[in-house]
Amino acid sequence: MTFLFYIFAALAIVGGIGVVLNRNPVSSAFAMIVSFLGLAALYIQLDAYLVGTLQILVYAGAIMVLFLFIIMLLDIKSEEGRQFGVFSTAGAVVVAGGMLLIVAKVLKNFEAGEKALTPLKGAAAETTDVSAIGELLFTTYWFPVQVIGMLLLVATVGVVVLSKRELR
Amino acid sequence: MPAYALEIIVFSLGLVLLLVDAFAKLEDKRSLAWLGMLGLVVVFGLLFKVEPRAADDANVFWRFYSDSRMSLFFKGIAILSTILVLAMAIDYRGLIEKFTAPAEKKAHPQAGLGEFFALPVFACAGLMCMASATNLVSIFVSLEAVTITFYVMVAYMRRNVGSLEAGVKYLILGALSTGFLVYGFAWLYGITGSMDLAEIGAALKSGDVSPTAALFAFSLILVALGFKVGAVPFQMWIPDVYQGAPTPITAFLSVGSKAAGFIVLLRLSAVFLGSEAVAGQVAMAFAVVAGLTLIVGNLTAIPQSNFKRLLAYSSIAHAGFLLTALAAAPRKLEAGQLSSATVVAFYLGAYLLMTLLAFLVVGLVRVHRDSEEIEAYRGLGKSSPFLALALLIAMASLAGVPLTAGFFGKFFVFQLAIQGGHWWLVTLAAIGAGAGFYYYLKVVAAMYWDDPTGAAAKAAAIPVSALTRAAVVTLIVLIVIAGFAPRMILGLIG
Amino acid sequence: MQQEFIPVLIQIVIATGFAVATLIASVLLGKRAKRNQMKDSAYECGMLPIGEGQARFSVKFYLVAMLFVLFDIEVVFLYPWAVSFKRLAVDGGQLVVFFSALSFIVILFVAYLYALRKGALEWKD
Repeated sequence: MTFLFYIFAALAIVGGIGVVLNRNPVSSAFAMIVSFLGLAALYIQLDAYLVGTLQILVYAGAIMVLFLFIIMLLDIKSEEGRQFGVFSTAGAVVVAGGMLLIVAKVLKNFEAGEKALTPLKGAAAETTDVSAIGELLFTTYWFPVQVIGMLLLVATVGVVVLSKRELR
Repeated sequence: MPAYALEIIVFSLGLVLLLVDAFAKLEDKRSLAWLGMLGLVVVFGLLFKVEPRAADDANVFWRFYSDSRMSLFFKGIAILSTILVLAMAIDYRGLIEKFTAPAEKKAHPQAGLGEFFALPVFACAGLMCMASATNLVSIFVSLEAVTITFYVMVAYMRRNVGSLEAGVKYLILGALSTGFLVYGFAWLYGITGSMDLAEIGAALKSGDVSPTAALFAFSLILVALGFKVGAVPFQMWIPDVYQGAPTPITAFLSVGSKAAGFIVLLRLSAVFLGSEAVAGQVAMAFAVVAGLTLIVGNLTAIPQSNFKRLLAYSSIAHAGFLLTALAAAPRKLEAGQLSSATVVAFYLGAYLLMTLLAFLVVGLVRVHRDSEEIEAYRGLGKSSPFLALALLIAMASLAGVPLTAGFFGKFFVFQLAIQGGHWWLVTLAAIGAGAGFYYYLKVVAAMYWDDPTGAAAKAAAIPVSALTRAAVVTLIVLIVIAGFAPRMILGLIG
Repeated sequence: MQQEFIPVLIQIVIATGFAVATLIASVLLGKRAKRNQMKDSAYECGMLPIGEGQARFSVKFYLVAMLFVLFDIEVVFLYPWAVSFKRLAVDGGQLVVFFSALSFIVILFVAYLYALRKGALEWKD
């Protein structure tokens, strides 16, 4: 089963690299969808079925559609012809390489995976994970859910004010 | 009355403002701002009537929410800054209407203004939630709610290129910093097994966790929160975003967002500084960041000729002073010594008063003289003496002249640093304060000793509405009171 | 439970494999296309094309997509609630489940009313 992990992880990474290196914005968006597919499969492998399914439904389904609508509003020719200078490429390589080195060093000194996290208590242990998440969301974590409601409300107001052609 | 009723009232106020704007036929949308201010003044009064929770209340809600006096103080900061931002927004409405999208043919001529009065109220509710958050989930969710409201408000004047550019820069860099924050929280949850700050502190103290992993989590969180408060080297967004955003929103960002970022930083650093294994390195990280911020913030403010940009760089400098207070946190608190949390809270309270006063004047000068350059302030002492006096007191307090609130803010920071023996930080802070005197008093000199050039020479006095006059007088009085009797504010912090 | 997702994996592999196989087959079995720049440009009945072929897109598409995303997130929250509601509230008697979901929906209902009144849901200009 672990060979599947390597395949999906490679898919996610290749998709990510494709997002960055593609000239055409539409190709970048499709590479991102491939990366999300790999991520969703990784979530399923971790037994997080709801999160994996929502990754496809919401991220690849709704958010990438939004991205593509925005790309539709851009001028593709000028985006394809965009050049990056030497300094910014060098800076990107240095930052990414530095981050990689730091994470590698931290993982070397840290025995991850040896400790198991405490399993979910209570009824959540016997039901499906969707039901368990529903229980946690609306009993223990009910207050953050209301703040998220406020966040979505503010986003709606922002969308209407910033992108309607004429306001009412 | 329990503490969470305050957020519910503020949020309902925001909902009411939004619905009234959408459904009612208003003559003038300024009444929405008045309604918002009135509601917030009532909430500020109710702040003093909050009952602490019963000791045996075991509802799971209290794992996410703290109603300590420090939280209530920061809620007060959020409410006060929102009230003054709404007052500024009323004066700024002409520019807002000019730069938002045109109204439809049959629509209200002031379309687009109502939301500008409702959004700060939602941001206030978010800031109040952030002040009480004691769980990684609630910290993250309320931080995001506040940040997204600010993205919308910064880019609000969408036909003004500066505002759009500021919004885009803030959005991209803010989203990047959120990525770092979530990654840091994920590591923190992974190594301690809990999202609750108290349990994380206990796990870190017990020594079960690997210090490398804990420091990695801390460094990621420091990157994200450093972005939020404007610490070097994460401060690049501040000048452009502050300069481009509408002036009331710049003031709100400068005070509210910074205060919220600092209370989260205080809570998280207390968790890390409590653990012996990592406390030394965490304190050193804070000291390095504080030192860099002090130097960069103060020295880059000196050559500025645009007043709003100068205030942006100076807000980086003030973040440096606040970080010095964090870096100099004493290991063991002696009797009568102020904790670094108290010093930070006092400094932020004083910072609220003087920054909002300065931005009140900046907004008025922008609306009536159409410029934010320091040249536009020449001769303000003769043409509008009331505003010039207000700006004089604000600048003096920001610089740290004795008998103003800003003086005691800096004094407590210096006291904390000297008591801890952090001589490098003391030296850099002293250099910074000296540089501050120069660039703050540059504007005062332009107001009182330079003659106005060009069109400003024939301009009349700037009209000041009664509301603004009342706000300015209140702020001046509070700054002077805090300068004479800081113990009163310290008593509020508890 | 993970084993139940193996059919999904097989389905993905078959779908991708079919698409890739037909593309490769058409490259291998078909003729090499004789392209030049003149043949690739847009055909305008003999006239040379002027300017960009892309018309300006209206921003209403973005508005609709964005509002869809926001209300989709609301549905995402309501789905686990729907699955666990009977077990918790009806059989278990925990009313906080009902009231917290009610307040969440009311907040987003206000958002909907606002978008409705401001004409964000109207398609015609």
